[in-house]
Amino acid sequence: MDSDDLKPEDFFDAALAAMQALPTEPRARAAHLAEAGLTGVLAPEAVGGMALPLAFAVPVAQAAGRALLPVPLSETMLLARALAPVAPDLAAALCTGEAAATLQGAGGAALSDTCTHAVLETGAVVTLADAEVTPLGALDLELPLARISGGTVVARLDPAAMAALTRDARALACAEILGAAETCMQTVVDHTTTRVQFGRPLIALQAVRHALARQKLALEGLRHALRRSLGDTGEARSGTTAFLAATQGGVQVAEGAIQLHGGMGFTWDVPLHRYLRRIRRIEAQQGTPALASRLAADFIAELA
Amino acid sequence: MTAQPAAAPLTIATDFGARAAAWFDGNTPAGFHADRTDYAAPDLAACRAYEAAMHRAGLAGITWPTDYGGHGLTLREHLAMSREFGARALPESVNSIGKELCGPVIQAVGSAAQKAALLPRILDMTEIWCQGFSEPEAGSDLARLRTKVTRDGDGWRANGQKIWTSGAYRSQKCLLLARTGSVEDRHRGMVMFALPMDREGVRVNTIRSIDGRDSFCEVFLDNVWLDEAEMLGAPDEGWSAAIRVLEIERATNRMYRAWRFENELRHLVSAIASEPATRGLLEDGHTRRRIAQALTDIDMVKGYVELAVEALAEGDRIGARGSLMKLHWSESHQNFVKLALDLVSQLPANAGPVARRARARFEQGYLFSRAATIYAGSTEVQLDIIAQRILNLPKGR
Ligand SMILES: Cc1cc2nc3c(=O)[nH]c(=O)nc-3n(C[C@H](O)[C@H](O)[C@H](O)COP(=O)(O)OP(=O)(O)OC[C@H]3O[C@@H](n4cnc5c(N)ncnc54)[C@H](O)[C@@H]3O)c2cc1C
Repeated sequence: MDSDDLKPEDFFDAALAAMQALPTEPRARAAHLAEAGLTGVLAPEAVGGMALPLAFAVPVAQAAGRALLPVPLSETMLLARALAPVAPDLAAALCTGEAAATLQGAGGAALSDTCTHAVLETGAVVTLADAEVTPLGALDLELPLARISGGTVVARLDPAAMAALTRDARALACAEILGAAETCMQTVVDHTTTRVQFGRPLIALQAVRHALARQKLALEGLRHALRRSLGDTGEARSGTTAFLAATQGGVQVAEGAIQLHGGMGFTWDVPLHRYLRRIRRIEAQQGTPALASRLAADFIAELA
Repeated sequence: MTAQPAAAPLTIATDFGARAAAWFDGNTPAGFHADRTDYAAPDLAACRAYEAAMHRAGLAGITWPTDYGGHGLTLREHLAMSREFGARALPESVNSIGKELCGPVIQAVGSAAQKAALLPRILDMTEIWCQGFSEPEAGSDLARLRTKVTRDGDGWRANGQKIWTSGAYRSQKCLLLARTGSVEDRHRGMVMFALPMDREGVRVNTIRSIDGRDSFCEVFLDNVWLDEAEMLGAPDEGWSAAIRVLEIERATNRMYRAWRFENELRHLVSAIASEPATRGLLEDGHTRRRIAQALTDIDMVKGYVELAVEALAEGDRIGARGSLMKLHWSESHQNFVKLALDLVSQLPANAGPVARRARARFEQGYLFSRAATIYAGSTEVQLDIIAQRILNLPKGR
């Protein structure tokens, strides 16, 4: 496929449609996503990928956030690219959906039954079948966090590849948060438009309008920060600041949406909590407080 | 809700930025930099001369047509200059109202003769402008303004009072918003004029502001004569032109803000690190999280500005998006100056000149920052605009 005629946003609708028609059998899910052309967006053509730049994976990750996808697709897309030079067979399997992989961050890895492989912080690529998996809390219902150790090492990524992977994974995590936050925003606008109290829809009340405006501010702020971090700003920190903007803004929108749903917002059946859980899981997975601390420390070190 | 892409590459006019940087570094008088120990607040004459020189060097009026003293380039070059201007602690323009608000409005609604007469004099700094919108009875609810113009022969007579008019005491011209009918007409019948401040019947009093400066004013208009040729745009265009001014004010005015914000953060951290008594504060986890927050906010404000420039360069109107930008900038900057004040307040009595300069800058900056959530439409007004015009929430009944 020629990236000249393709625009990143063209991927969004197709990705979302495929995600909403996901098979119930976990092992069949990766192949389904592969058939929709999503797993190999970034991988080189030699392993069956489309060799597109990162910007094309962004709307896919955004759709995954909206669909609460129970597959670590962002990680799979990135690893199909990263593994192509060192483990081409595994990279090819990730593209076809025979395999699916997750990436362990400072706070663990997002894991579901679809996954077959994991990349650990050391760069070791291991099989999950014989790895030791310790669950780490249950915030994210579809993709909970776990700590992975052991497992048969099938390949290794060098530190440079790991650094690039971590950076790109963070950008796609922002995009997932964006998708989740957009859904919450739409849901809360719909709800407050139809819910009547004091004889008027809630959105006629200034306090409600202002709360929604603040959520919109957070949402657009994170969208702009993400978009900026994908361009060439010449600033090494922009990926980190975008991620911090995303976790902060995403949480604000999701929590705000729950608040404005009243009692309904506190129910299991209204899915807002699932988006909040996902955003909080991503935040924990990336070790966000330490990330913020390091960002400041680097800035201080540059000046002192 | 449609998916918006997150990937348009930014076009940064790097060559122009390098040229601007070289000019600032080679031509800025000693004492101008608020982050240096030799800082001495420049007076009006020094600021005027500096800004006129900036214009001659091609760094003001960048986007204005060459026919009117401009340089005929795009907002991308203006952004490149702004990044360099912001990165240095240079004095705020004494004519930003002329250059960034009145100039664009004159270009949009003025006649050819008005453009030729007014625009070059803004850029060469012979005419400083002020903005006469707010009145004692019409602040957030600007449409309720009362200053009235009535026909008198082939011209008009203006009567009324303006307030909070920044820099009116030093201005040669005022962008006056008035009405031809009554307050009940709301935004109908609004007119805009280029009022010469030395006209008979114009009286200006300065008002001292919380930072101790006599910067904004009340302006009384007592039967002031206005020539027909001084009316900007058609009689009924006043309100739409005013909205345009406000949109610009919130979006592209002082485009350098994010970079100045970053300059302030650098200055603050360097000053705190320069004193053995306070250096340890920078190791503290809470302080670090607040610094990370400031960096995150700075990059978000940059993102808003850069993407607005891209959109405008593609021919879009900025519209209500400026409200998002103004709100984020004003609140996050207030948040930052609180951090700055917390830190400089812990500097010791025997602090050196670097630290003393920072303390003076940020005490003043803290007080001045209170204005940011009031002027150009208060926070509450911006929230109303976002709900109404960006989220399109119906008002209901
Ligand atoms: C430093 C500075 C410089 C200025 N320079 C200029 C200038 O050069 N030219 C000029 O024309 N004006 C200028 N202004 C005036 C500025 O535009 C007004 O102060 C502003 O529009 C608010 O109007 P107000 O002061 O009448 O306050 P009010 O409108 O009385 O507002 C008071 C408070 O009530 C809140 N409020 C008002 N309406 C609503 C609402 N509908 N819902 C919820 N809350 C509401 C406001 O947010 C505010 O907190 C300047 C102001 C400052 C502080």
